[in-house]
Amino acid sequence: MKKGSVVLAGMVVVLAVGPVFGAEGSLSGRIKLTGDAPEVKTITITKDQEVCGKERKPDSLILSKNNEVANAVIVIKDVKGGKPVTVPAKNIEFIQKGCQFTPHVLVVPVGAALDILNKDPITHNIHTFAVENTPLNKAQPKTLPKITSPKFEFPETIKVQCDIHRGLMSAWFVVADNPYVAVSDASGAFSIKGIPEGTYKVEVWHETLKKHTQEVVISGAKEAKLEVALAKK
Amino acid sequence: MWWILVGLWVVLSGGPVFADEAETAKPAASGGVSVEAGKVIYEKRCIFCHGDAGMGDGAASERFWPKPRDFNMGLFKYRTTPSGMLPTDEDLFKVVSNGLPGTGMPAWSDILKEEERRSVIQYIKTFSKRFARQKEPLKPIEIGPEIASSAESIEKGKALFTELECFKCHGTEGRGNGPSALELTDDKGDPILPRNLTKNWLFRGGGEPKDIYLRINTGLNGTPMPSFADSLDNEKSWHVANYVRSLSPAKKPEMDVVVRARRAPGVIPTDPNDPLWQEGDDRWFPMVGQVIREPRHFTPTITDVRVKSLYNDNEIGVMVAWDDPSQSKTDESAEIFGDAVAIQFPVELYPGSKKPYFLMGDEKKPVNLWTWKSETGSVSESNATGIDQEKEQDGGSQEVSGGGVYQNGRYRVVMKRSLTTQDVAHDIQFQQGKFVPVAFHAWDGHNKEVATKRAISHWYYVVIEPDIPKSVYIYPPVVAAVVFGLQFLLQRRLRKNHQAGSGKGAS
Ligand code: HEC
Ligand code: HEC
Repeated sequence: MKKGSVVLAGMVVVLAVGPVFGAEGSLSGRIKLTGDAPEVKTITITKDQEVCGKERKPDSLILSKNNEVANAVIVIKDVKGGKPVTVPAKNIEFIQKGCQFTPHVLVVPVGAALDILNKDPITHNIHTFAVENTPLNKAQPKTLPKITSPKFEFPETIKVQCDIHRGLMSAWFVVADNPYVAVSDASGAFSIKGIPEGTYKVEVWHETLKKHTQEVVISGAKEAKLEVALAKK
Repeated sequence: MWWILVGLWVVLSGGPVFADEAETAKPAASGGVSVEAGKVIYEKRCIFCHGDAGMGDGAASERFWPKPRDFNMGLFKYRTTPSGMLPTDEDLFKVVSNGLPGTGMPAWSDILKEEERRSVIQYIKTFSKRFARQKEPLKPIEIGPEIASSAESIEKGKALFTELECFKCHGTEGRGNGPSALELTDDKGDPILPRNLTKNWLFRGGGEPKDIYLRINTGLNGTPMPSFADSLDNEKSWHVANYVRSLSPAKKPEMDVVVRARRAPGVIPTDPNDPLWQEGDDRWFPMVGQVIREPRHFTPTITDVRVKSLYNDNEIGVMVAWDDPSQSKTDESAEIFGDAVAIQFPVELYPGSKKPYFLMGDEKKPVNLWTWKSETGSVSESNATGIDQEKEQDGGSQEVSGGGVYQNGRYRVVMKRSLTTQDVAHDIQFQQGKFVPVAFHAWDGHNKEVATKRAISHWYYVVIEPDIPKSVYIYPPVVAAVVFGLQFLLQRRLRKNHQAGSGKGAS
């Protein structure tokens, strides 16, 4: 009895102390563009206009009014003692609608599979340019609303394309083997929580901009901030 | 006879690979199948195209479209395994043994022993780590009981072709001219065209329903051609396969070298859609890239033409039909030009089998050309004494008229002229019963074809048969003799051209 309560008390101490010593911090910030915004040519759509529309801005560079960059991928590298990725209980959804993939950049934890949905009344083909993982190229006619992908096993960034609507429909899968990954939102903002304290390399990647790498110091005491300005390639 | 032309092309483009054929007769080392033996074979036989590191960048790779496979990517097209998966050894063995018709990939079954082919396969598998990672055995997809082709099955297949939207790439009639066709690229970023489904003898993986079944269920890895396995069960797969098969003739067209002009009941129509032009058989002639004179063209899209002819007491008309994935609009910055076709005759008929040089004549023996251009719909007449020695005729001698249409991925063009003209120094004169040599040139401007970059044919014949019924009985042996003689000559000529070509055209 007595012994048991000592053990229990010890556990309480460890749990209570944990956050103070092996502390975790977070990183948040914003991704911007340096220099003038490049001219983004509107795509004139000639095929399947009833579904795809007549014109659209390409998904390859989406900027806010203040030149904040959406769809940049922020990765904290080599987090020692970090948590493993969690594979969600339900497959992650990846949607084709209005001849557009949503989301444009999808983080896929290693071990997860996707439910690929076609909400358009036309055929798309989901074609991945995977190198490490098994590549996909499957036709998805309107009669096939859902395809379940195999599990993604190896970390890599994979280009995704519909060849039938090439130039209009592209996306990226970021297969990650750690949970310290985020994608910037429409205002360029991102945040990553629960990072063990330490000094790490952070990589910021965007499909049409120059890659950026820098160090960040994560501490439990206060949230680390990261403002990055990406240059044109 | 097509193989001669393919041979010419392969020889011209890949010569050194075949240069030491006799040597291969020696038996393989008795070591059996091994990666080491495969490496030796690879370095002798494959490296020239596939490159020393297997990246598809060998010395000759630029001459092929599609380019030789990059083995590092681990992406193979003609498989029995599901989409995205590696091929089985048997899949690779089939490709290496039979080659890929219509591409630069030669068949090796006559040159390499089975053991050697199996060894080289083991070696090419070392270039991609995908093979080493593959733990479970690769299994071919299951093919259920065959549903034989029938009108009903073809009908169902056609409905699926529409429902699944194959036409977006392959075109409604399957000529590879769908709305998405011209934008497609393979996984290396090189442009790639959807297959023309009306010429199953050029299907790389085989042209029979069983082969098509595999292609639509496995997809072609590394290309836009997706797998439809998730939408097809066994029955539907056979229906689609039977429909696709039905788009090609029952047998590969045979080359009959003589176009017989049919007598037209009245005026010869210049509109290819006129019912008169729908009647009667056509003749099929293979076309190859012009690889003799610079700038050469190794990768034409036009693989053949179909030809018919009509005549009456005053005129002769020739209709040429060929497939082209698009009606090109000139855009010089993108190196896109207008499409065109030319019909070539000698200016004069020579005794025996003597003819001008097939590639637009020579100094002593000029040719007469009738050219139609798609963008303007214009027809013109010219003379040439060589491919870069062409001169349009004076206005007064321009007597050819014509018309053309582009429908569902196919051009049909009619050109006609009076049987005889005043300008005998420049114009071919037609006479009943005379075999007039004829050759063809065609340009797919979207494929950067212009000037010397074009598809060409060899000489064939057009003849106006005398309409005395008796001739029906006299003619066949004559024609047969001409045909026989031609086959022989064609082979000789091609060999000669090859020698001439490799002399003139070294790049
Ligand atoms: C003259 C050039 C040439 C030579 C020599 C050549 N190849 Fe190829 N090979 C090609 C081309 C071109 C392709 C691509 C065709 C395509 O993508 O449709 C190809 C494709 C292949 C493929 C891919 C098949 C698939 O299903 O994707 C294999 C395997 C192959 N070659 C093996 C070999 C081997 C083994 C040798 C030597 C014994 C060899 N090749 C020699 C030109 C060549
Ligand atoms: C996204 C465009 C696309 C769609 C949709 C598509 N194909 Fe293809 N297909 C291609 C391309 C591109 C090739 C040629 C690839 C190459 O040469 O490497 C091809 C090749 C083929 C081949 C030739 C195989 C061989 O052995 O040469 C067949 C048969 C075929 N497709 C049938 C179909 C059928 C049937 C459908 C519909 C069920 C279909 N395709 C849908 C793009 C497409």
